[in-house]
Amino acid sequence: MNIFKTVKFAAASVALAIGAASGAQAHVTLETREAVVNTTYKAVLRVPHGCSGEATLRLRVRIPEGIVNVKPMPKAGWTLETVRAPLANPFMDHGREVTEGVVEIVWTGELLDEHYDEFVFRGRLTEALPVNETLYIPVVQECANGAERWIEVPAAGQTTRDLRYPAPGLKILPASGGHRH
Amino acid sequence: MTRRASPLLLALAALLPTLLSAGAAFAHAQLRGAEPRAGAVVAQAPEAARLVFNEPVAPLQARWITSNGETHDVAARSEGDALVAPLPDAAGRGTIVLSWRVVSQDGHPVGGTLAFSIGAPSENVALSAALVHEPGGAARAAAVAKFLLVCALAFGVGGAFALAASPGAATNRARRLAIAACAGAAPAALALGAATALDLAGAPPGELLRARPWLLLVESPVFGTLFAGVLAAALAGLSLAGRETRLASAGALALAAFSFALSGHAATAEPRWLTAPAIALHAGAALFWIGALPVLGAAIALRAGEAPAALARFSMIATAPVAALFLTGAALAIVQLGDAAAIFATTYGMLLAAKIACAVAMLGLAGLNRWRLAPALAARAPGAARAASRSVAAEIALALAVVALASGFRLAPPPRALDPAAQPEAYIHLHGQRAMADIVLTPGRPGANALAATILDDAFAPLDPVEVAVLLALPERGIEAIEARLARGEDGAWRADGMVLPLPGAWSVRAEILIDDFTREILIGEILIGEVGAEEVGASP
Repeated sequence: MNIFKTVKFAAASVALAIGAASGAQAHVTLETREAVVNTTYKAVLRVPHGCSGEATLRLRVRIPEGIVNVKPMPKAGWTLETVRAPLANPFMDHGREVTEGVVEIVWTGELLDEHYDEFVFRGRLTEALPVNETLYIPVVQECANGAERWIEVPAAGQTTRDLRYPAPGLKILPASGGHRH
Repeated sequence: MTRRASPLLLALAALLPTLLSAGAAFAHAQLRGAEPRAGAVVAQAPEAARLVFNEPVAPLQARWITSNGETHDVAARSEGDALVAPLPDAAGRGTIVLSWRVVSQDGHPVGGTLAFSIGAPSENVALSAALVHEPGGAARAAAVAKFLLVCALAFGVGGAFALAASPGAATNRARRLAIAACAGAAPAALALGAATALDLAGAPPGELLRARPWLLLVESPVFGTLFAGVLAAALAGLSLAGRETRLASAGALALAAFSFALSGHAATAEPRWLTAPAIALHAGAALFWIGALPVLGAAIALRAGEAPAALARFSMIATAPVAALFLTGAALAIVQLGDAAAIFATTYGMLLAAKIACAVAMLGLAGLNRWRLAPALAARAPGAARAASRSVAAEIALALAVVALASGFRLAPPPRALDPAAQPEAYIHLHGQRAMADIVLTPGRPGANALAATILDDAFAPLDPVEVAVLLALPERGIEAIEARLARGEDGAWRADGMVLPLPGAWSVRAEILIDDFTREILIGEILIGEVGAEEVGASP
């Protein structure tokens, strides 16, 4: 029995230390988890369930630094809003300096816990993004009973699997073979 | 010296896989929720408490501790994924604690504590001394018994194999030691079985007279380990008696190695196709290595004519097992820890690191034997036999150190036993990249505690987060995280009252600070909850 105790202790310490305290399996994730830098990326956010059985009433997406020209796709039955703000790093787009952009997308509607849906936006991955690293796109899922925040980013040495509420991640790949838009 | 030290040293082998087996908690039954909720205050005593898990569970124990310190064991029943524990008739009013233990499909017990209050929370939850001490006693006994069983298998089974593999080195002394060790396997297995049964049942030693703990043992995977271990010792005994020596001793070693793969987290951790054979290989190699040491020591000490040849031969045949030992150990550590940082982040990891250091030192001595001492012995250099004897003795001492570390790890008590009077509260400062938290638990002892957290930014300026949650867990005692959502007070401190911490110990703290809607800082540390003063046990209203 000591085997179990020892192991359980160790396992639980590790688990707690790295934050895997619950077994939340079905996360909000991106359908396409890799994209090439300096291309336009279509983000499909997959929402597999509500908050502990409650329906999702609002989905908020924080656009990270480095994704620009963001355009969300409207959804039937959902109202769509965007929050615009000055960009920390203005960039040149077709010879014109862009200083402001979408920093948050808000869809408001209703998605029952037993249903599944996808939320889409498009944006350009600027050259400023570090390649071969994961870009995290935090998402907050709001329900009548509170919110589930898919905003956790792994610390050094952790992986997404160590987190309870990992933010959806996108691996930025280097440009190869002149594939440009 | 070799002779004297040897009986103890054999424990190394089996504890290696045990120690290397971390990280698999994810596969166990996890508590999803409870009704009444943890910390809830209900007007009327419910008929039963209902704990919902993520998979079907079977009850092992349900013990209520009422606010006046009485304990009541009740017959809990499982309803699919739920455990239903009826309240005792004498539930009374005040805070009531359910100490539960269930077994999930993988055969591993999972325990925890649910506390809620009827009418109103008690000022101080009196926890029975029984609850605090019993499981520790059984675990301690099981650690000692496991140590003895591994000793018996290593010196008996490993020794028999070493004797059979190198007849030239066989001495009567080594043979007698191996026979004695084989004979000790069954009593050690019985003791481990008894301690395991008590641990499974969470019962005091008197319960061994009843069937229940034993039935739990028979159903648990540990039983297979014990059975295979005893069988292996019997087979090794047969080989020592001179019947089919080689075949029997090899079979015994394989069986003993296999016994380690039958139970334990490491053996059932994914990917199983890798971990189970790795455990068996690891255990087999360790049993052989340790079992060979006294054989070798005795051969050198007696200056048997064939000692130089025996030493050289051992070094040769030991190469593959020792390589296997280290490779499988590394593989298991990687699978189980998953992350090198965990070695330094946990007590477990640090003890593992110390143990690995000892094993590496043993490897160094083995190398010394092979490349320096064996040739010297063969050349009949003056003092060579003495040097070789010393080297083997040191190797045995290191093996003992490894075993001691392994045993100490199991029983690692809370870092310090604090004087409760001198420590009216428990405090920890947690530091992160974007935020830090000062957390105080009052009174910082088992029972209901008030938690207050002051949240600062990384420059010690006050921070006004959106939400703060604190999770406290005592994994070494099988207590799952108790979560509190804190409320912001007018003074800017975040508080939660009535966090019932059932046991003393070094509790893991995890503070989740939502700095803004999209940014959460997670801070992790350990907070020490002192013992309940003796005068408080059972003295509460």
